[in-house]
Amino acid sequence: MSRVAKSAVINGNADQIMNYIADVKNHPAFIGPLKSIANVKGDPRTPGTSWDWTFVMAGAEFSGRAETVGYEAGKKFSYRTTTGVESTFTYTAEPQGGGVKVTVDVTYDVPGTLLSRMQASVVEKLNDAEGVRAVENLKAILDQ
Amino acid sequence: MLVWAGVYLTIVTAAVAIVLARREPTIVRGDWVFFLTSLFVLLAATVTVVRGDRVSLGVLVATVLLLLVGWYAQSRWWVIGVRPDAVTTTIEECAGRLCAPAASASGACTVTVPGGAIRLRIAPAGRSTVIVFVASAKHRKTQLFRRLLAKQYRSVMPTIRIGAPRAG
Repeated sequence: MSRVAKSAVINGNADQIMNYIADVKNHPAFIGPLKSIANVKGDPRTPGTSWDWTFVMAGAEFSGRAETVGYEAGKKFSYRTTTGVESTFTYTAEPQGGGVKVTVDVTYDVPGTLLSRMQASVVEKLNDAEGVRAVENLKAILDQ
Repeated sequence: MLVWAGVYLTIVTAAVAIVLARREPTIVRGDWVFFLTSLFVLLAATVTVVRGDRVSLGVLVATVLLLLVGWYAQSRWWVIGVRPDAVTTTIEECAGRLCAPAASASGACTVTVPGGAIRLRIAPAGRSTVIVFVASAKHRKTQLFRRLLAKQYRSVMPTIRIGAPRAG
């Protein structure tokens, strides 16, 4: 199991920040390689709600499905991918100073085959850099 | 240099053919056209100088003209196969996703970002639309807006599609 965790302190209201993050249609706005979210079946704050995602990396489009694991107003939003490489994305918010510390924590399984391991190592490097950019983008969008 | 011109024309013709053959809306970004054209001219000039080939005045003039056209195009994006009213709606939606207020008037849209605004002119171009970036405030939201807007359409470069979401 591999893991990437990145944080940023955002000046804003924790409820509004987590509401923004829990609206998964907002994710292409702050996650660079995520091209689109479609077919959201219900309210993403409800566990079990699912949607389609499309990532673009190195000239290839990867599509799959994801579903909500849990949501706590102003505190936590978590979802997992249910096709392709298995991964869980958890966003948490906690007060820090005058702002809100937002953390994105991604865990994912490295598949067994050699080719998949090589792909996963590239994905891991991309994830690390992209995790930093994602939280910085969230700060740029939500800072008040 | 004629070989280089031939290669450039072939690439441009192939790109145009790909875009016209598509049914999905495609975005042609002027900034990328200018960047790639400049890169191509730089490569052609470097190889020519290294090999010690001579460059005629005509080729020089044509190169400068090509770069001027690229410079003119860099603030323009063409959305092929989409009408201006639909593009305006998409622009407003992208601004909303970035928590940036947007105001549209006929043929124009202003997206407010911290420290300034992104001012756009939106004009029909046949059955397509041209977006002109008239002014862009220097803020991370501006970059995010441009990237999110570009994501709404297919890029000129073909992509391999891997995996498909399950039905239902």
